[in-house]
Amino acid sequence: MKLKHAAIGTAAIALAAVGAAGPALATGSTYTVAVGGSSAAGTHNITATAGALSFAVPTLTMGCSSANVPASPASTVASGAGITDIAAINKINFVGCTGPGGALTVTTVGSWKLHGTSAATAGATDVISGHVENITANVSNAVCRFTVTGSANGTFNEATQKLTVSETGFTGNLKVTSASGCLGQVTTGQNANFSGVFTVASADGAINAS
Amino acid sequence: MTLSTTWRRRVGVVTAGAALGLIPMAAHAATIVTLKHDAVGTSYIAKTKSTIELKPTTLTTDLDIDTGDFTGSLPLPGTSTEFKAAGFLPVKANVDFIPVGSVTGRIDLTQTQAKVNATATYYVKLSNIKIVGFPTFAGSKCQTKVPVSIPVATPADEGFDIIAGGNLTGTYSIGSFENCGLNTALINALVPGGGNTVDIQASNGVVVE
Repeated sequence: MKLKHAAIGTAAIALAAVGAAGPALATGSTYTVAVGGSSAAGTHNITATAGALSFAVPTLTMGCSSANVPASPASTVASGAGITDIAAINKINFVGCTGPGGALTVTTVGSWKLHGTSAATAGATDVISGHVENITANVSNAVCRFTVTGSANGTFNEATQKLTVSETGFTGNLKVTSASGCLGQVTTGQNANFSGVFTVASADGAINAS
Repeated sequence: MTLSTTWRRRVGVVTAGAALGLIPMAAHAATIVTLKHDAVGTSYIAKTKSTIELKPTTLTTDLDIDTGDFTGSLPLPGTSTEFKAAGFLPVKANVDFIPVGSVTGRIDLTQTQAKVNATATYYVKLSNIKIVGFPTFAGSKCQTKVPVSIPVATPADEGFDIIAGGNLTGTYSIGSFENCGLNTALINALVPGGGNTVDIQASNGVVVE
């Protein structure tokens, strides 16, 4: 898998991940990752941008107009052999988030990790399946606050350098781990969905995993 | 301002059983957030075919953020009405709304929107009644015999923003007036009836610490 610009944009929006997301989520395949054609061991700063994103619990649908992984604090892609944590996303700015009742503030917590689970070739056109782990996000407004924690399924397209997060169906490992207010419509234990497409970029060049 | 400073717990209902010690007592603490919105609007009085301006005021609500239930207040400043009796006699009057109890209501979250339902209750009081420009004596207690209940709700195709606000509309009836002196019969012939509408715009919400 080659991530050209890197990154991970996970969508996490509401998230909050919990380390207890489940054993299956805590694992990923190992890859040789090259950035800008070099697979020398190291880290490479990345940024990412996303258009509209959506997130939901079974009772409410929410969304943001855009999101970005900023240059600071730095998020990184690891290059080298035997890489499991392909990328570490240390902050996502969610912009223009709303839900029933109005604006929402979404903040990420901790370092989200990108893991791959499917095979990758030496080519630059793989679409590698995986998940974003260690998601934690706090969502709040004047009458509601909740935390989402866990992992979200996604793919990384080497050709487009796009990370597509697609956690849908309320059946995965992304869950509400605490909730207050919300007029009773968000409760601890609810499953959460999260979808968005992040275009990843690194000044060091395209990211490629194999 | 942080949520932790603006949200406050209010000990709420304790069941009778708990109060009597019959069952383990677990006080239910409601989390109340006080919101204030600017409010302004109009009301169309069907019988007189006239529109009353509801002047700028403040809608204050104490919202239980766990349930969506709220109580509050919506004081309506005095206003005036002007219409034609029998189609040609100009009638003017001052109108006051005397609040009766609290505004009560509920905010419900649907999948994609917030919806408000609320009811406010007032005595409607008329004064300074002029017919064809001539003052008439209506006394100082010319008002509806019973309070007028005005239900309002978020229109079906709209949502209510907790902070930005939204529209609230409703239909209500006005009952008979009393203590209006020689005007009582005339007023009761002209004003009471159903099909009156109200349209309120709430905006600029703030959380009160």
